[in-house]
Amino acid sequence: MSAPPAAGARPPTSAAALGLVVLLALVGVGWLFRGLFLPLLAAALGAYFAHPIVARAQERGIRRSVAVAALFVVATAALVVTVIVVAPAVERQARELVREAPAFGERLETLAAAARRSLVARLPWLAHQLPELAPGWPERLLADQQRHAATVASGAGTVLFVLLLAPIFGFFLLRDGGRLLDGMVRLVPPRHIETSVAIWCEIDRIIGRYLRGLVIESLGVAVLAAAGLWALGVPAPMLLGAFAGMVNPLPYVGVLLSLAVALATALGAGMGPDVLLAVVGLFVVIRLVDDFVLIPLALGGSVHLHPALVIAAILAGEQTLGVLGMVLAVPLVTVVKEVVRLLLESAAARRGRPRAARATTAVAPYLC
Amino acid sequence: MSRSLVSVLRWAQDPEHRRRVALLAETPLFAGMRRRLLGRLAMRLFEKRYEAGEEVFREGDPGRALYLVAEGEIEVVRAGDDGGERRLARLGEHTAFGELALIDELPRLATARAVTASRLYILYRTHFEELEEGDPAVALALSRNLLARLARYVRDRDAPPLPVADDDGGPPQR
Repeated sequence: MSAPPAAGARPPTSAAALGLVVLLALVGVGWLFRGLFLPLLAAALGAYFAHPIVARAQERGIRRSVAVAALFVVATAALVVTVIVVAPAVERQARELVREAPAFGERLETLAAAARRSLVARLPWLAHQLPELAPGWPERLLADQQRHAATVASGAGTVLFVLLLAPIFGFFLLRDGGRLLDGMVRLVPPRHIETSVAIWCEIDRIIGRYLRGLVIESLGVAVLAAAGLWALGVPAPMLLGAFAGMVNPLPYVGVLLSLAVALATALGAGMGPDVLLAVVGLFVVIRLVDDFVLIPLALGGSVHLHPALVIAAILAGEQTLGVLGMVLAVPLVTVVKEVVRLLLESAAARRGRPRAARATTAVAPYLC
Repeated sequence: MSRSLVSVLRWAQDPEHRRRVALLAETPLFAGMRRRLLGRLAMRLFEKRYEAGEEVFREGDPGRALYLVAEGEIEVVRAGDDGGERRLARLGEHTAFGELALIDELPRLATARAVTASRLYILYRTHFEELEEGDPAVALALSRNLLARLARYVRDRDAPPLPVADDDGGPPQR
């Protein structure tokens, strides 16, 4: 026999209708402010990374607003110092790479033509499978990329918009996020508070751990790649390391991309097969260090998904949101899985299934 | 100069955090825990208000969180064989209930209901586990306190009449 509803409780149908109306209203507001999606997303990601630092200060009894303000002052100072120290070195390497690009292209063209000739001489049937590349293809490829870069530059206004708004939104999200959450907790009916808190905490835990871990892992990969490539004498090691770190969040594809770019740079610089082999070896070592040291340390057990589900999620993410979708797919699917698990558990409890387990539990009567 | 620095430092302190830490420090379940750990726990509490008669959780619900009574009164009841309810405990301020959720994932053994308008703090199990992973001293202190409660309940269980605990860390009221 089910207990009568608590005083003031809404019947389930009206509660569901209210939930639907609220959901529709949220979707409508989201649609109206869709232009703010990118800065809000960037702000939310920033807030997630910064939250543990603010939480540390709060644990010591410091007001959240004071901790957030102090963090922003320190972060701005750190950003200025980083730009002053690192930017000139990166710019120098980028200029060198651009200056050397035509020579790199010629070498790549010669190497590709020689490789084709050698292959066709040994396996003549490949002559039709491997068409001869037209002279000057590296320059054309580079020009294509530059045209693409020009398209990206045309969107510089959007980037500036995001860069200006994201820190402002980030500041307020970080400062007032707790109050927003408290407001939501107040709105949730008492009957559902435990499930709601559980869902929120799991979402927060999964996304927070995943994103923070991803940044730490990517930084580790970037440093290892830059140091290794520098030791091997490959040109522009800092740029290549930064690229390896940036594409690292792309599951499975990231390491192949960074290896291909590093190999192309080494080839273009006229480096021998021993260096090329060493570059491959370096990325294999980085992959192993990533899998066995960085990921367990940084990501821990934040994501428990079947590999097939991971691949399916990444493909679906790529189809819907492109590269961003590929990065966000895994934590989002993990969140959905966890939320469904918690909701099913609650539904099963409401149906009274777990009562048999309770009946066999021999615990003193007024512990609950 | 020093006086103004002191006043600035005092202003920078969060009064709500101080209140929460004080509540945790006075709750027997958290006895023996260092203030820094209580500060961490305080950060993870959700606040929720209940009207008189509102259920906090129901017997058979999945147990996922511990509750602390900051204000008001909570009664813990259990369905009897005759279809009625048997009151097991009446809990006042500075008491914790739903503690078994920190140990296992089995359903609630009883129903908790607000007797008067109450303000509760909710501590989600996973947050507590994360704290334990980071500092085994938390696990040790809590295990000791839980064992002490269990031992007291087991000792008193067979003693008639059934104890109605005030749950303030002292002996149950009879």
